[in-house]
Amino acid sequence: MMIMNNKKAQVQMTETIAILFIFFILVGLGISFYAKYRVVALDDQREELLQARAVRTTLKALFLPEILCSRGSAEPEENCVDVLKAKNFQKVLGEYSNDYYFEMFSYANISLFGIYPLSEKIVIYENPKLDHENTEKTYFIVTLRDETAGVSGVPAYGYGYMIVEVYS
Amino acid sequence: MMKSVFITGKRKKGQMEIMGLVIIVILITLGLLFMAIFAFKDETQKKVFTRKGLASSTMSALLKATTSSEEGCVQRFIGEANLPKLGEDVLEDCALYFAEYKVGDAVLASGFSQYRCQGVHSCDFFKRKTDELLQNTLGMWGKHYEYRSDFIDRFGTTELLVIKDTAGRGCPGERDASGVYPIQVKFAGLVESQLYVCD
Repeated sequence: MMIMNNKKAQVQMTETIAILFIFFILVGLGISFYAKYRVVALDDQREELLQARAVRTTLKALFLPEILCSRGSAEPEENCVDVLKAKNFQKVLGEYSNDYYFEMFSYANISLFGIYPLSEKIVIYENPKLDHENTEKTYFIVTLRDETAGVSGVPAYGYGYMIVEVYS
Repeated sequence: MMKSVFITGKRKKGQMEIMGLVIIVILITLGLLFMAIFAFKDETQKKVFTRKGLASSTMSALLKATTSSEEGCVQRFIGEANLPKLGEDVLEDCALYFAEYKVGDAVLASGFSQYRCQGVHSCDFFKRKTDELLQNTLGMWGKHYEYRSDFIDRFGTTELLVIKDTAGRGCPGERDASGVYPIQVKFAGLVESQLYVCD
């Protein structure tokens, strides 16, 4: 009877050890999975922050009064860049790039590309981060107004896009 | 007495096993929950911003764009005054002379229209140019799109143009719209244009 009881206890012990073993394996898997999830979540968060900065920089560039299409005191035209202003913006930028515009755009590249009727590239702001970890590009279509290309004093409007690239 | 101890022991064992099962079920549920969180993750703020802004800014730029003087869009009878705009002038002309462009099921690029950009009917030129511009921007950035223009007059609505991405998929499902861009057509009606953009 005693031997029978001993054997039963041994079997039960083995069973308990096996269950505990499986339980700890499951807990271990859970912990490793959670750790991986945290790493991915952190990367995602970092990516989202960079994307949010890309959106902010794009909006600032699109509504930059220095290059926006305006006509006297009338409302400025939305999503429109004045080509003449954009081409001359580099001069203004040269004087203030270290403080005012760096605070506004930080490390970023902002370029305009004309597609139709003329294809051209205008660099608005260029300040790349050399040791960057990640970059984020935002494309936006804009109207390009050119006072010099029109006929009878009416400006010509072109189709182009703006690329805003931010660094982290 | 012996029997009752035996029964209690068996019950306890049964309860323990049920507890074990419950723990396993909870762990599996948690795992599935994590997977669901990953699978149904919301679209990022940037993606939504870019797509929503893209549709309306593209339409605005497209319809405002003036044609190049090299296209030779000289308006017959009236002569060259200003460079015609793709939207206000060429599309309007397309609506006015649409009957000369589409005869039954046939499309006549050589049909009559006041603007003869690249020597073709204004509808044909507008379609080609819009297709080219959208393909060189939205198409290059991996977006799908669908452009539609309808002419509305007192007789009803006529479909003027439908332009889709090169894959021909368009945007049948979830999409962002530019909103309707109306253009008045002299003494005839109204052209309503809309662009849909999707991923």
